[in-house]
Order: sequence, then structure tokens, then C-alpha cells
Amino acid sequence: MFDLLRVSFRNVGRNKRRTVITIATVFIGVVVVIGTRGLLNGLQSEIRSGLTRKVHGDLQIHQKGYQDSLESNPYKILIPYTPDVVAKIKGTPGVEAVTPRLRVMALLNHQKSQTSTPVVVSAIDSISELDVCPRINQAVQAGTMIDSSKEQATTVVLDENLEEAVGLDAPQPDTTADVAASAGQAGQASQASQASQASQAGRAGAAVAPKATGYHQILVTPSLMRGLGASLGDEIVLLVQDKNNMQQAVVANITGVVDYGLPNASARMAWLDFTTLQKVLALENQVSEIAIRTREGADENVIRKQLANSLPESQTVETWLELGGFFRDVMALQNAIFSAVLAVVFVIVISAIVNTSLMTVMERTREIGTLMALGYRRIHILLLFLGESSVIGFGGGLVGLVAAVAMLKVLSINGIDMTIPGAAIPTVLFPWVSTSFQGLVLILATSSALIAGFIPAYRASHMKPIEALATA
Amino acid sequence: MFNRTILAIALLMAATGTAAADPQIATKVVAVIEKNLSPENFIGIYEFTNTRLDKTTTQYIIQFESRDVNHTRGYFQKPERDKGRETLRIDENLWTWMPSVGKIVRIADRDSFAGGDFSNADVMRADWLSKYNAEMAKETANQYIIDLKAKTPDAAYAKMRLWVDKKNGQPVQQQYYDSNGTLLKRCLYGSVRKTGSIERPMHLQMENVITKQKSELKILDLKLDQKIPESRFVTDNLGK
Repeated sequence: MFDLLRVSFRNVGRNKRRTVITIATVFIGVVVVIGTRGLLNGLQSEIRSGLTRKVHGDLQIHQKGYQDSLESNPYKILIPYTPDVVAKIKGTPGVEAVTPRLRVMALLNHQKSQTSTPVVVSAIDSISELDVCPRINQAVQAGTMIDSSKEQATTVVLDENLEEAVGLDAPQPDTTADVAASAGQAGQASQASQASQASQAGRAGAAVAPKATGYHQILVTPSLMRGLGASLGDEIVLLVQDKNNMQQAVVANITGVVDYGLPNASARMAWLDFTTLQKVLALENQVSEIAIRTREGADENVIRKQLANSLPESQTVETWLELGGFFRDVMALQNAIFSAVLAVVFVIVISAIVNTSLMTVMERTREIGTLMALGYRRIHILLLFLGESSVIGFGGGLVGLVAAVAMLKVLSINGIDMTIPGAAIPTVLFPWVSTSFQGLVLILATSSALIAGFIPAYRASHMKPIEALATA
Repeated sequence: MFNRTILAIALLMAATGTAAADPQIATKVVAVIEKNLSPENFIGIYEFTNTRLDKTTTQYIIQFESRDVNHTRGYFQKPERDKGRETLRIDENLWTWMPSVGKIVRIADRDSFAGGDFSNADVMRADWLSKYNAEMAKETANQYIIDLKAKTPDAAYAKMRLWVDKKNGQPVQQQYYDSNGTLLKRCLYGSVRKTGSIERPMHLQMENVITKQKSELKILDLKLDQKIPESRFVTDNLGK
């Protein structure tokens, strides 16, 4: 067997030009496959990182039916969030960090422009949210992310102004008259403004409507900011129904603008501090979702199963891939295209090797006859030619593998900037391939060569020695 | 001596006439207002005008039939686009009938009535004492200032403050607050008129203090002691 292999090696070197061309075909095929997979892995890693480290976390726990009920009845899908629950989740092997989130519908009113719009309000705890989604700050386009430590409790306002009030039967104050009256321009006071002064003094609580104070931060999306004509620092009043259907108001200041850069993200979104919203909604130990970060490299499907076993049946655990529906489909399409590329490359490599091997067999007919006459059996001839094919396949594959891996390593030093012009968040790819994939490609290259070389080797091994020798 | 002291104290208490002499006065005043605002067996024609910030207005004319505070039915007469639309209250349940789709849809007390600043609860009945405790905040020379604090978790507002004219017992102004004391809405009452056995404001203006939008309600006609069949307060009869 070793002799056959040695002869195969020597035969490969006999026609250098043809060998180089064939090896080059295998080389290019391997570089294309590994390069494409490496770039795809880099892109998909960036997508995954963007989704898991900026938006969703690796896993999320919800009430079943969460997506269907979120906007129609957010209180129907609350789940408990107590220290025991947190301890149970964190005790699951592979879980590294946990954060609570609340989501409700609200009416957002921009006080300066007096524009109101319905929004989905998402409340986060800035400290634990950073543990689960450390890249969340990349989504902040202006201003700053919510800092839960800066939130100040709302101070209850007591309306101490218990003056007599007027109804519709009293003359209603004219706005311009009010301004004149309050500016103290007594000389210009008309009868209307005198009545206005009296009625304003008489309208209990009318001059300054009581509004609860306390420092609250709110973030909005860029399109909401534009639509409201708002600026950082502007006052916003959020009107929400608490869990008892009682109307509540939150007065907050715009401290940041957030854009996740997701294609299907709602434009009407706002973010508040978790504890602030929890208090406003009168929710204790209840949340809309729990987001989880798992250990790097851990299989989230395994962790998901373990979590699901320890949680009530009414709750469900979803992976980032299930949550990022659009990206799941994109990645599936990318993988499908890659498979097609792999198949095409496979076919090209096989074709080239078949062609080369057939030519080799035809040129060496007399040699084959001589070998048979010397006592080489069919199996030896078969193995001889298969050996040549495998040397070409393995050699080309190995060289291609080394070159491709080196190229990917160089590209991954600084990454490849694939940011779409105008995109809010940069996209930098760090291409990579796994060792197992590299091994697989090498095996594929060698086995392709073997498959390609089989027919010519079979033909060579089944030649009649007399006919082979008779060939001039 | 002792008798003269007691007499002096009694006279002093009578002279001051403070609400402290009758802690139930707030509840009694509110009860009378509720009875006037939601009389039994009435048919009324109400006009709603919603004014938005861009000065556009929308006007609705609705006929209400009410057997009692828990049974009220409204029929939209104008505008033509909404004609035939109906609302029905039976106890704590509210429905609306949409003629364009032929469907009955359940709605909530807190939802806006006809897209304005009155909620369904504000319009369809006044039964504050079932959900709020009335306390006298202050009594001035001319008015009672009564605080209504939510006693059930499903009350629409954490607190309301009501100004009542002492002379005629009619509401003058009402303010609505959240649980932090933020003023949400303000309602002004006016055009008090006597109709049959009741006397009530015929003109209300609700202002949303947050959004600065306003809605007005005018009662164009009110007939009391009407015979309204029970069948008018059945969901299956909506749209018929």
C-alpha cells in the first residue's frame, strides 16, 4: 500500500502543469467555500450579537400568548418577578444575567407642541439591562441612556389651593386678556380683562395645574422626535391606565433618542425607568418579560429546555432566533444560498478532476498495460489512480485551507465595515470559521477528488492488458 | 351657669354652621347632584362638540334613554356618518353598536365618548358615591369644596374635587386627578335649569389639562318620567 502511495505521489509530479492546474481548481474551490462561510459566520455573528446584546438578550421568558395580548391587554400577560424567581433562573446552568422589562400602551403628550400620540412604552432597569444587553448604549443616537440611579421618586402634589371656582355661567377668561392682566398692565385693562382677572382669581387651581414632580427620564425614537418637533430636555406627559384601569400620568423629560436599527421596529416607542413605571402602574413583583444572557458559547436551546422545566406551564421561554423572526428568515436564506454555492463549487471541482484524470488515463494506457503485464492487479491500478486523485484533492484542499484561514484571520483583525450608508448603527464583521468546518472542507475536498477520480480509475483498472500494450 | 355655657357653645356651633357639625353633608350634597344628573326614566337630546387643537370641531347629537343609573341607551342622530350608532349600559357593562358592520362591541367606562374628552363614565351615568368617598375639603361663603377619593381600585380617577354652589346645590366645577395629584381634566358646569322635578346644569365643558383639548355637552331637550320599555336595555335589541 505504501508503495502504491509513493508511486501515486511521484506520478502526480510527472505532469506538473496539469497537476498545478488541478490543484489550483481545488484550492480556489476551498478558498471560496471557506471564505464565503467565514464572511457569513461573521455577518450572522454580528446579527446575533446585535439582537442578543442590544435588544432581546439570548432568551426571554413570557406568558404564553404574549405577542397576541401585548397591545390589547398588557395586564393579562404579566408574569411574576420576585427574588425567588430570579434566584431560580440564575441557578440554571449557563444563565449569567437576568433583567425585567415592562411594556404597556400609553398616550404620549409633548407639552411644548401639545401633540399627542399613542406609543408602546418599554421600561428597563438600566443596571441589570446592561448586564444582559451590554451593547444597548450603541442604540442611543442622541442624549443618554436611562440611568435608573438618577430617577427620583415622584412627589405627590397636594392641591392646597381651595378657592372658590367658577363655572360656565361666569365670563370665561380670554387668553390675550389673561396675559395683559398677569403682566400687570392695569391701564389697558378692559372690561373683559377685569372680568378675566376676577374669574382667574376665582378659578381654583386654574392658574397653575398641579403636576407631580420628581425627575423621570424618557427616551423616544428618532421618528417620534421628528414627528413631535421635540428636542432633548422637552417635557413629556405620559397618560397610562394602571392595572386597576385608573388613569395615571407620568411627567418626564426627553433625555435620549434610541434607534435599534431593526427593520420591523415600531416607530412609536418610548422607554422609561422600570421602577418608575412599575410604581405608576401599581404593579408589584410583576413584569411583561424577563430577558436573559447566557454564557458565551453555551447552547441556548439546552438552557431553554432546563428553564422551561422549572417554570410554570403558563410561561414560555423563547430564544433570540425565535424572537428575531425577520433575521431568522434572513439567516436561513443566507445558509440556503451558501449550500447552493457549496454544491456548485463541489460540482466544478469534481468536473475538473474527472477531466484531468480521464486525460491522464488515456495518456498512460501503455503504462497501465505494462503494469498489468508486470503483475499489477486491477485493484492495484484502481488504488494507484485513486491515490493520485486523493493527493491532488488533499494537497489542493490543504493549501486552500491554510490560505483561506490566513485571509480570514487578517480580515478579522480590524473587521470589515459593512455599515449601510445612512444606517444608525455601524455593522462591522469579524469573519471566522470553526475548526470542525475546516476539517469538513478538507475531507470534502479529498473525497470530491476521490469521487471524481473513481470513474477514470475504474476504466484504467478494467483495461485489457494486451489492448493497452498494443496502443501506440 | 352650666346651662348658659352649654347654650353658648350650642349657639356658637349653630352660628358657625361648619360642615364639622354634619360630617355627612358632603355625601348628601353629592347624592343630590347625582340624582339630578342621572334622573330615572328620562329621554334627553344631547349635543356634543369636540374641539381639537387645530380648531377643528366635530359635533354629535345623541338621544339618551335612561331607566335608571344602570340602564342607559344612546342613539346617534347626527352626523349622517354616525347615524344609527348606539351605546348601551347595563350595570357595569358597556356596549356599542356599529351599524356599518352590524356588530356589537364591548367598550370600557374609561374609553373616550365619541372621541372627545368626556369618558363613557362621565356621560353614561353619575354614580360617584358607589366608587368614591365624599369628604368636605373646605366650605367657603358660597361654595362647598368636596373631595371624592376612590374607594375601589376600578374607579376611573384616583380623586375628584367638586365645587358646589351652596345656593342651588348645583355643581360649578369638577377636577380629576391621578394618584400623584396631577390634574388630568377639568369640567365646568353651567346653564342651570329646572326641568320638571329636577334642576341641573344643561351645559358642561370638559377640558383635558394635559392635551389642552376641549369637549362640550349641551342638553337640548330633557323629558322626565317617560315610559321606557325594558326591551330597550337588551343587547340583542341594539340596532333594532
